[in-house]
Parts: sequence; C-alpha cells; structure tokens
Amino acid sequence: MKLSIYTKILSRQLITKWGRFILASGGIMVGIWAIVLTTSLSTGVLGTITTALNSQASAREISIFSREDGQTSFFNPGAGQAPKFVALGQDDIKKISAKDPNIIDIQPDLAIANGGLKTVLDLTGKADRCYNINKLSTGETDKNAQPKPIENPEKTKEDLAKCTTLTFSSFVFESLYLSKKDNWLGQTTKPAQNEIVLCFKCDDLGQKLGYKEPKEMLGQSISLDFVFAPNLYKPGTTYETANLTRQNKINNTNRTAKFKITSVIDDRQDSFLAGSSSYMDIANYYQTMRTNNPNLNDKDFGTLQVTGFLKSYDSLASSKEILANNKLLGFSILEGILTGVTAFFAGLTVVLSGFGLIAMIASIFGIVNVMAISVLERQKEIGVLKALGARNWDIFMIFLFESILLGFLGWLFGVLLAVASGLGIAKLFNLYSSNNPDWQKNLAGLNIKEFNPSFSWWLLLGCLILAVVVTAISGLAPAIKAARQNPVDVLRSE
Amino acid sequence: MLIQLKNVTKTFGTKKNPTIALKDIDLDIEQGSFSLILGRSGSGKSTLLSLLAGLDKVTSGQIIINGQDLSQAKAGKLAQYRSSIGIIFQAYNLLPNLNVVENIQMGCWASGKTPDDNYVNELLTQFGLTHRQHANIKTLSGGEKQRVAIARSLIGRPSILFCDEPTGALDKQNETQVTEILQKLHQSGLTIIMVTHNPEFKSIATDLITIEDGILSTSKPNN
Repeated sequence: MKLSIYTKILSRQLITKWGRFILASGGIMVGIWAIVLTTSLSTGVLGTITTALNSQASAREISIFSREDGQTSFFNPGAGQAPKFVALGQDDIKKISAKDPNIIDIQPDLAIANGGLKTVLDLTGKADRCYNINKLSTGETDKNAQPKPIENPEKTKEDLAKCTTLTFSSFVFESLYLSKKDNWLGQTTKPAQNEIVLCFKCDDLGQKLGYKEPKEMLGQSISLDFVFAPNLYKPGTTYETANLTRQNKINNTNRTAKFKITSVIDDRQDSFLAGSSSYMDIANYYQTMRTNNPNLNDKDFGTLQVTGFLKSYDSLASSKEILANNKLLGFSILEGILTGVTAFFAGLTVVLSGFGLIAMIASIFGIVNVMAISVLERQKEIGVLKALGARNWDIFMIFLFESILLGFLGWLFGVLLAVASGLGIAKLFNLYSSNNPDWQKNLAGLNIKEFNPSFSWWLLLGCLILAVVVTAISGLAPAIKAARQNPVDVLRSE
Repeated sequence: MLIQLKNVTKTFGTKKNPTIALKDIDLDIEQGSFSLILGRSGSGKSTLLSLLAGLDKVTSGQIIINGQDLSQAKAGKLAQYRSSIGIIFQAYNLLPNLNVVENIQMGCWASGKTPDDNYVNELLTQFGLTHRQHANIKTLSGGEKQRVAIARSLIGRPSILFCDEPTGALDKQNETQVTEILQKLHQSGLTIIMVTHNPEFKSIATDLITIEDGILSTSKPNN
C-alpha cells in the first residue's frame, strides 16, 4: 500500500474521530507543553543574562597569567597548593599585545595581593597627614606595618577631616570608558601621567570636594597622598600566591602628587549594579615606587596579572588559544560566571522537563488503550483491506501511523500552548518591569530591554521526535495485533 | 483446471475438541465456469469460499489455483493472491470513511496498485454510479452499496470472482439488478464462484456444488 493511501485512511479517521484523537493526545500535549515551556523560559532567562553580561564592558576583559609549570588552566596545581606565577614585565605585555590582535588595550593589574595602591586624597590641598587615614578607615591588615605614633592627636583629627580614601578602578581604561561613556565628561582618551579620571558619587567625592555638579570638577587639580606602593614583582621571577603579603609601604615623605582632573564620570544615576570608581594610569604607581628607590626603571616593574581588553566577548576563545600557545593562562571571570549560570539553568530545565517526561510516559497507557479500542472497532476494515490484498505490513503501518498522529497532535497542541503561555508569562514580566521604575533602571543598566522566551528549532524538533517515538512505542502492540488479525475472523465479527 | 481441491479438511476449535467444517473434499472448478456453492446454514459453504479466496487456511489437504498451492502459501503470497481475485460479501463491507469512487479505487490501493481512471469511470457508468461517485457510503441504498462492492471487486481485473450471498441483503428489484450484472460478467468470461441460498442463480450457473455436513457433491443444473 502506498504512503498516500495510509495518509488518506488516516485523514478520514481523524475527521470522523477527531474528538478521540484530541483527548488521547492530551497526555503528550501536557508533557510537550511542560518541556517546551520550561526549556524556553530557562533558555530565555539564560539568554537574557548572557546578553546582559556580554553587554557589560567588563565581559571583554581577560586576565592573563604565566604559571611556573606552563599550564594554561587555574586547575591542577596539586592538592592543597596555590599556583605559582611568574611575574610579567613590560616586554611581556608588549609581546602579548603584538601576538593577539583581539586585545585592544592591555595593562598590568594590581589587584592580586596588593589590592591596588592605597591612596588618600587631600580634600583641601593643605592637609599634612592624610597618610594616617588609611590606618583608621580601611581596616589595614598588614601585621608588619608599624604605624607611627600620632604625635599631635588634635591636629591629626583635624587633618583627617580633610582627607578621604580613594578607590581606583580595576578596569582597563577602554573597559571603564565604554561602560560609562554615556555619562562621561571631558577627555575620552586615557589620562596621561599626573592626569586622573574621577567619579562624582563614588567615595562621595563630589560632595567632599565641595562640587555641586560633576562638570565643575573638570580641569581642577587634586593632591593624592600615596600610602602603599604595589609589591615590586621582578619580571621572570616565580612567586607563590599563597605567601604574598602587602608590603612596600612608602616611607618617603615625598609621596604626594598633584593630578589634573581630565575626565569625570557622572555616576549620580547609577544603579547599585553599576557602581563606578576613579581611574589613574599605572605610570603613576611606578612613579611612587621610584620615590622609594630612584634606581628602578620601567623594566623592573613586574606584575602577576595582566588585564587585556578584547574587541568583543566572542573573541575570548580565540584569545585564550593564542595565549595558551604562548604558555600563558587566559581567564575570564564572565566566562566562569556564565558556565556556572548555564549549568544551573541546564539542571533546572532537566528537573522541570522531567515532570513533562513523566506526563508523557503516563500517557503511553492511555494511547495503548485508545489504539486497542481503535483496532477492535475497525476489525471489519482490517478484514476488508486484507481481503482486497493488503499485507500484514500495510495494516501494521495504518495503525502505527495513527498512533504517531496522536504524538504529532500532542506535540502540535503542546507547542502552541507552550508558546502562548510562554509569551503570556514574558508579557506579564515585561508589563510589570515597565511599570516599575526601579526594575526598569536596573534592567536598562544591564542592557535588558525586555524578556522573551526562546523557542529554538532544536527544542521543537527534539520534542517532535520525542512525541513521535513515545507514541510509536505505545502504538506498537496494538498495530502488531491488528496486523495479525485473521481476515475471516474479523469479517465474521458483526 | 483453474481450481483443484485435494483432500481438503477444515476444522475449527481445539485439537482435542475439533469441529469439522469440511472433510476430505476433492473439487475441480474450470475456468469460465459459474459455480454455485449450495447447502444449509452452517454446512460449510462460507468456509469453503474463504479457503478458495485465500482468507483462511486449510487444516489439511491442498488447494491449487492456477498452479499455485494456497495451502503452503505464506501471508505475503496469500495477500498477493487476494489482490488478483475479486470478492463480494453479503454485508457489502465497504469502508465507511471513504466515498463511492474511493471505495472502488481501494480495490487497487489496498494491494499498492494504481487504479486505471478510465476503467473506474467505465465501472461507475456500467453500474449507474456516476452521479453518486462522491457520495458518502452511508447515504447509499443496499443495491447501490452492492454495486459499489462489485465495482470494487472488478477494478483489479480479477481472474476469479468470489461472491458470498451477494443478494442476501437486497430487495427483489436490486436482487434482479445484481443477478443481471453477475450474469453479464460471467458471459464476458469471468469465473464466478458463489455461495448462495437464492435458487434463481441456478438458472445461470454452470456447476452446482452442494455441501451437506461437511461432505461435498457436484452436479450440473437442470436448465
């Protein structure tokens, strides 16, 4: 029998028994609905999170390390051991930059072990001893540091009121600029030595410096008191990260430098998710280190971590490969976060889809029942077709197609229901967020315009295959029974 | 000889407690004959027809049709054989989900053949069904249904036509109509084997096969 005839018989059966078909495919429909809805929602949420994270300039940052053993991963340094890093110097940075065209900005990162350089801002330009504020306000943990005894407590108190600590960004300049460019005032290029980028609201700078508007800060000068210099890592030397302690306290009295504010970040509207900080070029740090040791030159300044800024997040894999080829370890915090988030949502989807799968498995019993009734009802038809020359295989296929049709209908209605409910849920979420200014502000900060479930073709195709396989298995026994019917027996059954 | 039965026995029920429907039957049927199978209800007429039409298998013995031993044939061969013959039932046995023309075409479709459209139209015209070709089977009269069934049995151009009480459910007028159709088919050279209670067919039959308690005897009609 030709496929067109199976289809003809099936379509006529569907027309006459449509109510039964719909009811029988109910279990499959519920299962497909649950699987498609949960997967599309979690994929949609994951996509939204990924888009949000990718849209952040920090997503394009790659941390670069050189492990002593040449490994290009953070893992496997040995049980209970911290990895040992080889300090990278100026020449290494230049080489990385030359070899990887994806990296458009690169700088030493001072985050590891020294926490960046602690600086204290002289708010008045007249304070003598801003240096001590660090001890009082930052909870300094350096046990070796021996603070000078305060000689004149009253004077110190007075001076301290004129000082504040200043937090510097760990971003590379390009990253900071891109993430804040909508609220960037003044010069848009990297500040040179003795130039600085300040934010207005962070560290309460605007208020403490006595400015009402961020633009008033542009072109003004400030004095910074350097409290600690970064650790002096010698390029090419191996350091154990477990034993690093902050040292290099600057004892030189000539530690104050003047800076011109060339750019200001207007961070007054920033959400809590988009905090800002000030920026100063690394050359200023080196300068402070030279105040302790004038014999040092740029080639002596090494760092355990270098931060590169990529053209786009998509070039991360290619960059990591280039770095690995040069026995360097490339690491993206965002990639780590995304891996974790993806694993979480994958787990969640599997668990929730499991309920749908259970519904589908339960529906097998219903389908077997319905198909058995169908075989019983159509015994005469089976007999007639056999009498006209149909083979057992033809009868088997007629009933197998019928059960597969149940799966197809269950899939179709399940998908339609899932799309409708998924879009409904998304619409409710978007409606709620658009009517909630706080949500709107935070979502806009993450470049999230609206949430949409993701109905990918592979999900729909996978569910179709699942539904067809489940119903085909369900219809197998009744179809075999139908095929084995003796035509005389079934023609006699009036 | 077109059909030969040798020592055919057919029993129903269990091996321990069998019911004998046909016992050691020998029968020859010639090509072009019009054979009537006669007998009381339950005598084994329909059983014999089922065996001849390849719808059932013998318990023992041989049925040789056109040189092919049906008693040894497997399911696939039997299906192939059934597609080469025509069969008409008392209860019409049309497929209710298909219309008139589709039911006729099913005579070919069931065995994977493509019906000849010209022949379909010819049959529709011949049996006065052209105006009803797209009608729902449920809306047809008994006579129309049986004409559709006859057309369906002929669409594959069979060599033998088996009829199981073809006029059993028809009124006098339709019975006459169907009888005339079958007579014409026989005159055109078709071999017809018919189970019937209707004595009118004796006038057009060439052979009479009578079954009494599973035992068979053959004779010629007195016409």
